[in-house]
Amino acid sequence: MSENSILDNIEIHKDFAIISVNPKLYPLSVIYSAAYWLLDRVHIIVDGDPETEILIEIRPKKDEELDLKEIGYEFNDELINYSVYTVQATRNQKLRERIIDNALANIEPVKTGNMNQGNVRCDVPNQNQAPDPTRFNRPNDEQDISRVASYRNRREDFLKQ
Amino acid sequence: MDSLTFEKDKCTIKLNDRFYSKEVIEIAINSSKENIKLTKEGMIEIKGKKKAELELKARDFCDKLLSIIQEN
Repeated sequence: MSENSILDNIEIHKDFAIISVNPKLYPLSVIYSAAYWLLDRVHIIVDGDPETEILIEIRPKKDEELDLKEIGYEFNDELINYSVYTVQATRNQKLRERIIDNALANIEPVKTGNMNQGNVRCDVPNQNQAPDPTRFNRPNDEQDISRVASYRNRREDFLKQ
Repeated sequence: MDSLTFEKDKCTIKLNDRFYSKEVIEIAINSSKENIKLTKEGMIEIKGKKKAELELKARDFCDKLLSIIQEN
């Protein structure tokens, strides 16, 4: 956009610039979002008439050398950016809601409380199945003792031969 | 846009109430540590000594209002 453009909506002053926005093209929420985007670099005050013309005053923060025209163009870009985002979000709203509903429907409820009272934790697999009977046998239980004794007897018999 | 007016030891901010609601201004004042108050006429007064400091506080306060509007 050249400085002679009839669409130029940026008015540069000595220490600040005024950007005028047509509220019929951009809703106030989009204007707030675009202004918020620039807050880390410039001070902003919103004024004007929300029905006819909204004025955005941008003023560089202290110790910052900024090209206010460039910031103004960036603001215009952000207006379009947030407008597109808003339109797309509205269009995709039902789809997003269905995706979230499906995702939530597939999650089993998490039960909390004392594990001894039959509650179930969702992060422990196969907890309702009976434990493997061989897994927790102690090395000195009766079965193992008889097995070891039998082995020793057979070994002694072999050595005697 | 003459939103800020400076007097001897205070700065007065006059904002358009169609963009900055009283509720938002009160939230900002309540969360601010500075000496700021809202007058009956809907203007914001910030007390301070140096003009440069007052201006910075006032402009930071306006930015804070915009943040609250956007984040809420």
